[in-house]
Amino acid sequence: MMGGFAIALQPVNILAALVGALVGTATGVLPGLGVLGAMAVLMPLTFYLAPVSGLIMLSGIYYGAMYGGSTTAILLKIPGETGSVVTTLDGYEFARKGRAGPALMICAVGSCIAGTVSIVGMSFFMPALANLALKFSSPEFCALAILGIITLVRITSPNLGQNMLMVLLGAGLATVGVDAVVGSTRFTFGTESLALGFDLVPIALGLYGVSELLNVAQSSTGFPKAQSVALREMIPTREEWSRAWPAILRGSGIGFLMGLLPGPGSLTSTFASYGVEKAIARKHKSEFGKGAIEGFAGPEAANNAVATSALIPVLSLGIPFTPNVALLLGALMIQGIQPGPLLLSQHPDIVWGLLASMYVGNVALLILNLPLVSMWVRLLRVPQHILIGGIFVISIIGVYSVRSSAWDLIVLFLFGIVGFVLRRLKFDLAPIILGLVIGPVFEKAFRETIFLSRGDLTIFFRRPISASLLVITVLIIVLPALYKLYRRRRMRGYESTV
Amino acid sequence: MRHIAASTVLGFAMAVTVGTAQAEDYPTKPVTLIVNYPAGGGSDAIARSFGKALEKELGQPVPVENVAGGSATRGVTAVVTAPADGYTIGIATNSPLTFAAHTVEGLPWGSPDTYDLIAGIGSLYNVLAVQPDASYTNLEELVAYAKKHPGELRVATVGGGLNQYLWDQFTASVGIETQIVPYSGDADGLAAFLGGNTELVELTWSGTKPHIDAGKAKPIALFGPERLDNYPNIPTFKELGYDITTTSDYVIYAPKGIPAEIRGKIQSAVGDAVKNDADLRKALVNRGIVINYVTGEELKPRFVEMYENVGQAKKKGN
Repeated sequence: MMGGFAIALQPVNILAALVGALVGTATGVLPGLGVLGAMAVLMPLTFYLAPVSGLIMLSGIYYGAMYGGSTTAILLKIPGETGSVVTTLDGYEFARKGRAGPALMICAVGSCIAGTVSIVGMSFFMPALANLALKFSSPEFCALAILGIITLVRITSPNLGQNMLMVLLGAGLATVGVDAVVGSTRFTFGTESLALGFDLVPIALGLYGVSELLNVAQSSTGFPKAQSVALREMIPTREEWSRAWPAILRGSGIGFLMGLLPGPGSLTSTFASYGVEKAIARKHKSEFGKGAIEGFAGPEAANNAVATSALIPVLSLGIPFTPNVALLLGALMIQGIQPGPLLLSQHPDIVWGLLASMYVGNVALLILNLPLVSMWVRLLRVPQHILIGGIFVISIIGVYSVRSSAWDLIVLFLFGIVGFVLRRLKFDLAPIILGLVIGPVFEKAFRETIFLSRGDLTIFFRRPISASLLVITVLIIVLPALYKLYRRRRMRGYESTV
Repeated sequence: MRHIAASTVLGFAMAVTVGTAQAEDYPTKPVTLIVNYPAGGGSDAIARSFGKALEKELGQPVPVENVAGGSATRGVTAVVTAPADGYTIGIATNSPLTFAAHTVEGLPWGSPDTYDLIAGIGSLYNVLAVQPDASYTNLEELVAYAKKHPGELRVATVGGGLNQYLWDQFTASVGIETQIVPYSGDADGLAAFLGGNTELVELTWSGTKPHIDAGKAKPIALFGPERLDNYPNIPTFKELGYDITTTSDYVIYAPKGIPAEIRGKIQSAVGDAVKNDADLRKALVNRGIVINYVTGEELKPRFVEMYENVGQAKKKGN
């Protein structure tokens, strides 16, 4: 590990970390411009660097983007990355109370803490955790997806039916296009555009970004007045800190564990963290949805922890579970290094150098971003019609850049209108995104499980991990109902004795 | 009347001269290389390395454009429908060109006659591996076991494309019954195999290799024309008596109707890049690709045969 720091603290590597973090933050802040695209475009540059420096730069982009995505979510209610969707719930409301500076600062510090927690965990437990990840296979994902949907639909609004409907809408949209298991096309009506399916980026940006624009444009008060924020209001109060840090630590833990598993960890971990914060909140429960600190501090820490721990399966097994880390794997392979179970013993310098550089990168990210906080907040003084217009243009470029498809732009506008209408009808939008992401995970895992068990459904109960997950799901559904029933009985019993 | 005839001839002559002049000067502007996968994947990395090598040969920038989606068919559509002037070419593997062509609806292309294969640059082999503690240690024992326990062996592979096609061909020719578990890529399939969920794994050599090196997977045989130089101990299916040598071939292709002279220039530039560019060769080898330059003319019969075989298999399946 000390050797690792010696490598990471070489000037060229510190520079690589800074450049990576800066580019990453920028792509995170600009909606639609994906972290994947930024990494891919910069990857050829890393051919000219030493393997470690190249990796340091790429991973800098990766965790920079995870942090940067929260900025527009907090300031404008437009998530820069899908991992920031949850942050729009409370982060934006908190900022509207004039506390945008502290919100951003809490996120910056939280990201740094989460990254550090994740890296420490990684340094100590990497080999053991890799094998844990292999224990999770299709049946477990299936059970996890059910548990996830059941618990997560409750978190944003109390209206379970409405949220479930939105999840199903999202899951339904995800089935359009090419089926992931056997490659046949579904619900395309013979058209090539529908064969493309619905990409997450245009839908998320449409539902949030474009609908926000429509919302502002039609409101009778016109564009909200630019806010002025005094510099001394940048720093969170002592009370705000004391509420934020436990949430940050919990979020880090959740993110660390979710990053080990295949699947859309950065999004699901934020929902999970939000759910946990809301469930355990006592004094401030009523604040959730109206600007609770825990409601964005936890999720933002979670998605940064995921960014780090998702590297564990790659470095210890050579198996990438997300496209972002697959790209890191590609960068390693171009350099002639074969990631796999032998990487740690054959190239310890690379693994420890990368880990140490992540400490350095996290600190670099914090140093870079604390001064930027006041700059971002000053952005709010820009008249909103210019700001939102600009964001709108960037969204269009970002969406188009993902797959160079005009169809995705149609989807962007279409879902802008859908989002606008749903907001009017007081529907929550986050469950659609959740359905869109978890729906395909569930379907794929379910179908794989059926193949694995040769059609036997009892496989879900014969495997200990999936069985326990299902039992927890049942308890979550049944317990609150039983509790209500019990209270009603007692009340009645009380009445009858009186 | 003679005037008209003369001016027509003159016009033709001019058109031909202009045409040749354009072909002689080619390329005068950047040549777009379309890859049918999103930025960041394995094929994208190969495309970017190839684009860099081609830049040196052509003396013009070769920007890579990712046109992903639709089972990797959209990129092909973008290439096929581009102007046939030599300024748009594509890189793809035979899998979307011959498999998805049958499954995805509404495509403006289909058989290898509908696009122009320019050259093949190399192949990726598939390998069959088993759990290290399995009772069968070679293909013969594996087949014997499978015959005694029909339907019991589960094989992790990727559904719907080349991977499954290879396995179906093998099991049909030897007459055994196994349970395919279709995953969506090397990563998923290997994770399931390493977690002990399947007895067999049949995936790309580049994905499986690190686990073979680590002793977590025991190689049985390769789907490819010959053994690998670095791993001479792994036999091919062909030498074991099963003539299944289909590989995943990376090809350069273009819309139909590119002027012959320009096509020739592209072809020789591709050939020079593949044969001589050290960086490109390194990138390909690191990806587990067996470099093998072949012209589109040599490659086409193989593509036609595969396209037709897949079409027949699909018809039978339905």
